[in-house]
Amino acid sequence: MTVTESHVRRGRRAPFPGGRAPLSVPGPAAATSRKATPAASRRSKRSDSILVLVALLVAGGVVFGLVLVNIALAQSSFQLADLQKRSAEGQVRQRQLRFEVAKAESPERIAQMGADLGLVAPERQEYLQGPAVLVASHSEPAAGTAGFELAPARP
Amino acid sequence: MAARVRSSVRLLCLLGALLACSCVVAGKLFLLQIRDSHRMSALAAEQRLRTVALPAHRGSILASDSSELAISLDMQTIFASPRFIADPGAAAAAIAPILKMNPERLAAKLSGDSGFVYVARKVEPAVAEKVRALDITGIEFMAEQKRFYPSGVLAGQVLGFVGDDNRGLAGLEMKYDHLLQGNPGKVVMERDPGGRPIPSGRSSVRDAVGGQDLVLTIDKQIQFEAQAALDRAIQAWGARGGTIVVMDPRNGDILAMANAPSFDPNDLKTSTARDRKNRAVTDVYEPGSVSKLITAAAALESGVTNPSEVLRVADHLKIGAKTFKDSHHHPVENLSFAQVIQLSSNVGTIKVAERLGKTRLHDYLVRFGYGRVTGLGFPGESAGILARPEKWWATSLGTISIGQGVAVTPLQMVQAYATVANDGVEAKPRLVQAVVGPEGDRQAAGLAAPRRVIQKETARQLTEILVGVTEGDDGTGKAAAIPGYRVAGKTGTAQKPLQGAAGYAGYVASFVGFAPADDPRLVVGVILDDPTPFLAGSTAAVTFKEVMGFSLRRVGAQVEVGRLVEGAPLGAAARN
Repeated sequence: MTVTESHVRRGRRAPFPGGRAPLSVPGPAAATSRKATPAASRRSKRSDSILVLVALLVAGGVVFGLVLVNIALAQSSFQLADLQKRSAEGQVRQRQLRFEVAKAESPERIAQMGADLGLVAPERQEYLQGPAVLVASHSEPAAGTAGFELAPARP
Repeated sequence: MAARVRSSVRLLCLLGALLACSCVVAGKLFLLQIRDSHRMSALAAEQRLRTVALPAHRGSILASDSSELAISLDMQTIFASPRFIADPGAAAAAIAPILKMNPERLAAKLSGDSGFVYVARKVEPAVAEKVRALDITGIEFMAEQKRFYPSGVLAGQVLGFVGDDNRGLAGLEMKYDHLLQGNPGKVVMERDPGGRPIPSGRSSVRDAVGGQDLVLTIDKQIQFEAQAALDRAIQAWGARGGTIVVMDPRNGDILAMANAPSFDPNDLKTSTARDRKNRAVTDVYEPGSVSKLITAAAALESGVTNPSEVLRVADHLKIGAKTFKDSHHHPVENLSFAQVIQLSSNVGTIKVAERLGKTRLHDYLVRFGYGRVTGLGFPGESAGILARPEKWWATSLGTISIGQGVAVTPLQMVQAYATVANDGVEAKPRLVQAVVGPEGDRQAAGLAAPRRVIQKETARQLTEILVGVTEGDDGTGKAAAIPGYRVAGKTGTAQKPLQGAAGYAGYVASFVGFAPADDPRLVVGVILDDPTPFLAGSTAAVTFKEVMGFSLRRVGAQVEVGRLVEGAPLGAAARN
């Protein structure tokens, strides 16, 4: 293959010694090249379009995904804030109840309630010694037991 | 050709102008982005970011049964920006009935150009909600804690109180403020131009760490009974004030510390500084005859006498220019040393003290804790007054050996008796038995290393002498005897020194003792300021019996059935 042929095949103008191109008839290879170029171009354009489409789809998907993630995050953040608020409210309520219980358990209040109900403190204190069950069932200590002693006392 | 040149010149001018503009822009960018970048970032952050402080929840103070004696609750503080309130009169008219305020005064507060003014601090959340529902522009809300004391006056002087900023100002609230207050946190969040937080914006949270709870050694029931008995004593005998301390001698746990007058920490405005004092640790008094315990301990431990040694005791004794007298006239008697203490003879005690000498007596007073703080670490605790022996007067040995010319706090006196009750070993008093962290982790407070003050045998001898005070035929403290228990104790009727002048006026009546004598569970000290009658055997001893009797039953101390007496009223309980 000559230099000229190779250049024709490549669809380019070959360099000519002496600066002037010789007259020539296009060969079969050149004709084939002219016919193939539009088809390749179309294919190339189609593939470019597909690429762009895919890229757009991917980009759209990513954007959509990001939006979804953001929505989910925002929802979670609202849920978290809500739960935190409920937890804080629960703690406040728990403390309030503890306070109410402490107030109700105050000895002063209990003494006052007892007085209001007409309760009086015992004038004597009694101590049981030995098996207490004998107090109710026997007037005399059972044989072989330590017995019991009911002893009124004062502090 | 000329046109081309003009065109080129114009282009060059335009290019130059563009370059100049670019340089200006680049320069400004340099200034903003590089030189001032930190300042600009900070300014931007200040605009976008909002920091909200998260106050830490103040720890509670609990009684020994873990019930709350002091607790913090979340309240709402209502404040206003008057410059944003369009109609202060209408706003005040709407808010005042809810907050039970004077509408005119509130309207005056809401008028003007101020940016901040408190409307009401620490109001109930439900009340704040009613104000919030009015939706008045310029009225704002913030959360604040308020300290509550559910049992009111119970141990008020021990607990102390906090200020508006929730910092402890007195008592245990002050001493343990660093444990109770916790560490505040903060939230940093981005907000939109309307001031609303941006949910997915930049934010950071540093959680507040709540304060720790204090578990006290105070037994709520004994504290209540001690306070009630003290109030009854004040009322019955017209005393100006008083103190009762109940202590476990084995570990120094203070089960009750009652003072009169008392106050309710929920209502500071109605109390005076005098009411708020924890007299048991801040006030000193001349203990009088209860201090003879230490003279006796020194004498027995030093071997200068023994309980059965017989002494010839007159009813008066002259030392230098001063004549010491017993409480009543009597002929010269032969009394054992044990009887000298049981009858509370000043003359007999001074005669033994003379054998000891001032240095040895001073040494034992120091050993028993006179002249130094107890180690409780309570704010304002007094060390008492005890002069060094080289500064004693000629008569000081006589006065100090019978508990005059020396001053102690009620707690110091109780601690001295607790040392004898604990076989001569001193246990440091304590009010806090444990600290509970915000996660519920409990850390027991350590006990100070015990210190032997006198030998066990000496302590047992002293105990037997003190039992004679309540059980002996002539004992001065018979009113303190409790059926079912052996009680060891001592009366003290001390003259009160005049304030800022020489001499004495009035009396302090006291009784300090422990029971059961053979296995002491409790020490109780009762000090009454100027009761009528002034004799401790008729006043303080009676109150001692009430408090000790209740406390022994409360702690489940074993009763000696043979010592029970039939048919007598319960005293304290009957008057509840």
